[in-house]
Amino acid sequence: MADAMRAGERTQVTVCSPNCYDQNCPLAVTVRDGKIMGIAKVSFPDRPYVERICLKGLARRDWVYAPDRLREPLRRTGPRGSGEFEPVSWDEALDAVAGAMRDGIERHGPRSLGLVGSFGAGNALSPWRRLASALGATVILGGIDQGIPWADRAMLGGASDPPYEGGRETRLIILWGNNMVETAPGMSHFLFEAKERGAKVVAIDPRFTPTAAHADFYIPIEPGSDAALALSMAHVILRDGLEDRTYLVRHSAAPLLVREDDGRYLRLPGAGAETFAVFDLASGRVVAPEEAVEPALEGTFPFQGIAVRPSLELLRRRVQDYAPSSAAEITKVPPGMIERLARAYATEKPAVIRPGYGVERWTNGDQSAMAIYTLPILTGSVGVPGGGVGRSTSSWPVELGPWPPAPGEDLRDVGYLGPMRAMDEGSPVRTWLVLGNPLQQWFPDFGHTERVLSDPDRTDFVACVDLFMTTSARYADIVLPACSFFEKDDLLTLPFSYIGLQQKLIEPLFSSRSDLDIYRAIAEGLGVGRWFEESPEAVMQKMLAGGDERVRRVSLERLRREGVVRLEVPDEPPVPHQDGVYGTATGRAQFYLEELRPYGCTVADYLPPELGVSREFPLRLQSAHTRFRTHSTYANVPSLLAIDPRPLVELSPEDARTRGVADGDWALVRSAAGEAVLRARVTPGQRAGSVRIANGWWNAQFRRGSLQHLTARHRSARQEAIYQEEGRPMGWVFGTTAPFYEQACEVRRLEEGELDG
Amino acid sequence: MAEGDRPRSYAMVIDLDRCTGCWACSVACREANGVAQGFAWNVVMTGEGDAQDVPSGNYPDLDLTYYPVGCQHCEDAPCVKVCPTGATYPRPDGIVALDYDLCNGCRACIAACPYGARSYVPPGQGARGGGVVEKCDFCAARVDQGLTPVCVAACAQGARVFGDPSDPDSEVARLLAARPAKRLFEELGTSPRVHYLLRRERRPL
Repeated sequence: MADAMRAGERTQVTVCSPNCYDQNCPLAVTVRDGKIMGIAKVSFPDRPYVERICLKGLARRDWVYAPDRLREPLRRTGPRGSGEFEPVSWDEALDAVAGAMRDGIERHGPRSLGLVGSFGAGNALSPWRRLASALGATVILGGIDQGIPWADRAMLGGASDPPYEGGRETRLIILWGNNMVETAPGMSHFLFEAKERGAKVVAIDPRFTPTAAHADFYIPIEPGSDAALALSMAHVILRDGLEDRTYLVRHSAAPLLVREDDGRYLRLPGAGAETFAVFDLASGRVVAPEEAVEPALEGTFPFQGIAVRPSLELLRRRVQDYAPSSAAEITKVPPGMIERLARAYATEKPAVIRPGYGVERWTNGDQSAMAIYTLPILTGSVGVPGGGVGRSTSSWPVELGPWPPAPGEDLRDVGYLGPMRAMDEGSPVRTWLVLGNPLQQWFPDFGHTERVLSDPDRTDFVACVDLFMTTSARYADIVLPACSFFEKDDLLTLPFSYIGLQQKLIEPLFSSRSDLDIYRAIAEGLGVGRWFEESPEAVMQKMLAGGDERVRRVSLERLRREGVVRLEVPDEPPVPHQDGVYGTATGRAQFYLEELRPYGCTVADYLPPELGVSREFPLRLQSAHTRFRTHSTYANVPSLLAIDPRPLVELSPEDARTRGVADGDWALVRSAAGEAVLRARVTPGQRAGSVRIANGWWNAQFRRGSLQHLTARHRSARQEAIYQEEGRPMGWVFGTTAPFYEQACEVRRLEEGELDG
Repeated sequence: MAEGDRPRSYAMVIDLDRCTGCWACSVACREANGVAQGFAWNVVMTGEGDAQDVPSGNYPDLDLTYYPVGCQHCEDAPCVKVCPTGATYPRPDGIVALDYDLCNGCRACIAACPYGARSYVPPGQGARGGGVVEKCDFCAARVDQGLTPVCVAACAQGARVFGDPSDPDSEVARLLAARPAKRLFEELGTSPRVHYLLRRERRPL
């Protein structure tokens, strides 16, 4: 930043952290007279090739100084959600929040307090979570798209994501429901470099995205049918003998025998409880895997009066139903294209699959994830340089230590409510303390959300902490203006093994306060202030000290100086599972999951969408994200609104024609749940039969209704059964997915006179 | 010939195979140059005039190519010819510059420019106070300090390259020699200094 340096001007590095698909970037921020003057790109230190910024990071100045920044605490004066507020002092606002929470604890117990923090609003110093623990409140979980991480843990043992740096050996990259060219602009250059080195890129997506436009080959697919395509690829691979039998025997559970009677992997009697078994073709006996000369991968064998089969046999039987000609009827991908894709994936190795969130936001998204994760096991494209499967862009991640309780004290257990459950009948939550905009973003069927929040029998009080009057803030009784990450200190991690310090570069605007200060004040009002006595400085020191050996070597002083610091790690990222270690139930890569016996789908299957299209609602609605927002952050930023000014429902030319909708018309989108009024865009990039409203607009930006008014509260019976039976604290243990992309709807043109219903 | 002896002559090369249409260049330009809200020195066009982010063709045989467009810094610039005050002038290094003190806001240049690269900013708006016509100047002040234009610096994809094509060792010369390129409205004879590297063929599966 040698240019235009003026007296009193300084440039410092901080970190942008919106919970975007790029997972945090350093920013060079120029400050003069207490004001941010400019934001520029800066290299990740010691990794000059990882140099990136995006339009949203560049627009952060415009975000901080946006004209609608909240200036003072507000108290609701009209009905909840009316947007009618009056300014109040901080003391009054904090007293009201603490008072309501105290009442809630006295009348309904601490679990009636629901605390929730959106991922874009807080970082390591996560005071909302700490306050929940201090009170024994209910923590409300997000994570509506956990099919892929679940499949990774269950099938490969987790942390399998192939690093973006490295991967020079990769010959084929499949981007599956993954629009990373648009939504992870900081990672896209790795894709272009791979292409220029000769790797071939395939994009699978119902919509012709910028990623599809940059791929060598685009495979259009019927929305929600990804599992059928993956299983058909497996069909072709097994039919043509393209599987990697050496890998399957050595590293996978393919040869492990499964009992026909109870569906469990066979354990050898007399041996340790977890000694699995294979059928040795050389000796004709059932033996422990390490004793076998030639483990069978096919067939059925008798063992002590029961039939046993290698788990690959079970996969083979499953994929019998998915010949390309059959799968083509489901996926609408021509059989020849499925054949070529399968053959390319199995032969142009090493190959990488990067599935995106698009395959997950379906009731049965867990099955799509499981089917996709079956493929690299079959072909041995995992554990090898340049191969792998994974969604994450937090390449080569770092973990900070926790914010521990003081010695001799314990924080209390909290209650957990899994994704989407806090609005359910029977939810214990009556008093909400919300950080960010999850009331809009996390809960389908906003009409229902609105009814719950407006019902005095269900909801006693809502407080919201944010920078702007988002949808969640609109439904609050008290709104507390938070400051941005430019106005406080925080610690966080970045991809490629970096730790970053968000430095306080300017004073909090207007009367805003840091989330830490706000939650501390609420805690003090509730008599649990002792949990917040430490300074942010001391807490950050603890988090560094509590990390692994590499993290402990990074001092806060150094972070203050440099902003972003790379851990002492080797130049080349590790290849996940190259050591042959798979932390799964069998200790091997596995596509047969015996723990799912009570719920079906021990081997991945295609299950049709549960929200059916009908004559009344013949179109499927997807809410894929754009480059202009990260979830609902940035929806109000003037320089971004100048480019992308309003919500649109995008239709294919065919669907527009049959409905008499022209580009730019007002349109009414209706679903069984509700409706939205917005402008239409007609684009050949949209697949006939499906429409899109991009995610992240605030409800008030629609002429009427909103995207979230259209989505249904629906969860698969399978996921519910597991959640209920196991009572697991984390609802996402079994691949929780929400059907945000599955909604059935209809669109019709509206005349000007009909706009307001 | 030693570096420094030869007069520099700048050009920009934009790789259409790397441009993702992300608009970071445009937002960076606005931020760095204090461009008034509602105006832009540099926009990202979808295709050749298609609606924003709308591919051309019929599903699924589609194309979506983005063209970032700002001042093309023409060697034979129509705007320079029509400017009555000399506010718009070519620098020796080829940058078509603007002296805002001389601009009287007559807007003849806006009519003359075939690229729509110029806009009249009303009084009171933007870092130059308005009442003048504004446009991209390749960040001449940065270039004079040996830096690249801010749009080049902000591009995370490396889609924009700036340099002197008459220097055979430069990245722009290398790219122009290696890849087919086009300039916008070449037929008008304006001889733009912005070159667009054409997209490569897609490889079959």
